[in-house]
Amino acid sequence: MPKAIASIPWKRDRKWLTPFNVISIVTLIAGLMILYVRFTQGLGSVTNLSQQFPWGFWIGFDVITGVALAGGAYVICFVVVIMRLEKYHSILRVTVLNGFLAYVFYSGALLLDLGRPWHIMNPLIGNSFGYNSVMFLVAWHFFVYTCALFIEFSPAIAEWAHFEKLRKFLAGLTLATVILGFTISMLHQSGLGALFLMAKPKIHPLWYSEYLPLLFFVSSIYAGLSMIIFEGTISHRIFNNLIGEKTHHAHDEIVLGLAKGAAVTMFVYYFFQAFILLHDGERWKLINGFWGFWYLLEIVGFVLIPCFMYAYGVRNRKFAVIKVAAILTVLGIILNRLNITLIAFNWYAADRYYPSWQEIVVTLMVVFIEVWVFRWFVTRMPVFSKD
Amino acid sequence: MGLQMVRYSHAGVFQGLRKGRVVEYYSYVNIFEQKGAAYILLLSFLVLAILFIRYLTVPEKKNPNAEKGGSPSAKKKSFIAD
Repeated sequence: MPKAIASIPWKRDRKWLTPFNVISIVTLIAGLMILYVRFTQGLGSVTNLSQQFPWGFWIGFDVITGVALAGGAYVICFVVVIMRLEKYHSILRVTVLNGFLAYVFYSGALLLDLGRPWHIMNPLIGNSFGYNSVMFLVAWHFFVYTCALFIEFSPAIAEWAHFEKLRKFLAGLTLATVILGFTISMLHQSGLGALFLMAKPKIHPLWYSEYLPLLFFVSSIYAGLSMIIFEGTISHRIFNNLIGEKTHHAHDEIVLGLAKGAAVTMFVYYFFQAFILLHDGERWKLINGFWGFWYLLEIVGFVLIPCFMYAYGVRNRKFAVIKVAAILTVLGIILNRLNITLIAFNWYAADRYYPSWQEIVVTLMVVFIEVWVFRWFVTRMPVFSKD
Repeated sequence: MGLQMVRYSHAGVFQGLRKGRVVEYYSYVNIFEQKGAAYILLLSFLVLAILFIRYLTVPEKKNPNAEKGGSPSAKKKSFIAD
């Protein structure tokens, strides 16, 4: 056993048979069995997908929502490496690791949804692919950004393996990869929104807008920041022994800074939505009725209210309020992305799409595997700041 | 006037038929009537954004860490870092 592993107190003290481990292992086994059926008997055997609803829960939640919630990585990289705000340096590695794993697992979940998964290489090798399509851009951006996140995290791996020269070399690449990663992130976060521009007749007018790419990009900023607050709170409790004293004390100030950033971005996003609603006079008339109330619930309940909760929490240093706001914001992003991809998609159709239990189990499996891999990394490698 | 409108061309410009010939004519669009609400919203955003950011900027007395800063230069540094 390497010395670094033996020296981590977390591993020695923890019980193996915890509720999380039991639930996640059961889900993992069930998910693998479902995937076996999916790959041997086809998508129709385990999903409720159809010609009318070709994109289901796996795309709507895993890919579209997962990538938005992973937006914290590019925001924190930009803030620390480009803007030189050292206050957030202690959460850089853990955020990059979270982002990297999110991209690997959530965008990797795309493989499950492809009828012929081996064709996923086509955009990369330029085989029979439309170079002008948004999907081509998103595929390349996912690939390049995942590589960039791996390079940004790689100094931690080199440090763990005691390759000092390699660590220095990889650390020297950080600035270039952050600039590349930030640029590409902006483009593919908005690119995911651009994917839905071609589905104008299918998406309810309250959610469809020509500004969808901009809305996706702006919302990914506060989604990422809220996810850092949410994950950071859990990590701080579970991996308490791995976090240095100085970082532990700085955590509150970091949370306040992140909450402030999220509040401002949400404020801007809310006004973007209001402008879009007013810009087209016809859209305003749709606010009455079920879809209008559903839209207002998303915008007021999960954008405006958490925004004010963040502001109140920052102003009065109420960390409980900030944490509740972070949870509401994450739920709001999930609701927004599911509205665009599933709920308000083909909203007029008589036969609605509901995810099958198999789709939900496989999604949970993907989430649990990510948590397991994250735990493997942080208990072995120098991810949390030791200062 | 014997003018028959054929189609709307672009903002404020119409094409019509007069005595069998296609003619182009202009009409004034009251942008304040059309976009009044959007302008009010934009102006209110500008005002509210300033107020919101001012609200978010925590005063010194509410931040216990700021009191430890001491010198004006230290306070200035912490302001930049935030």
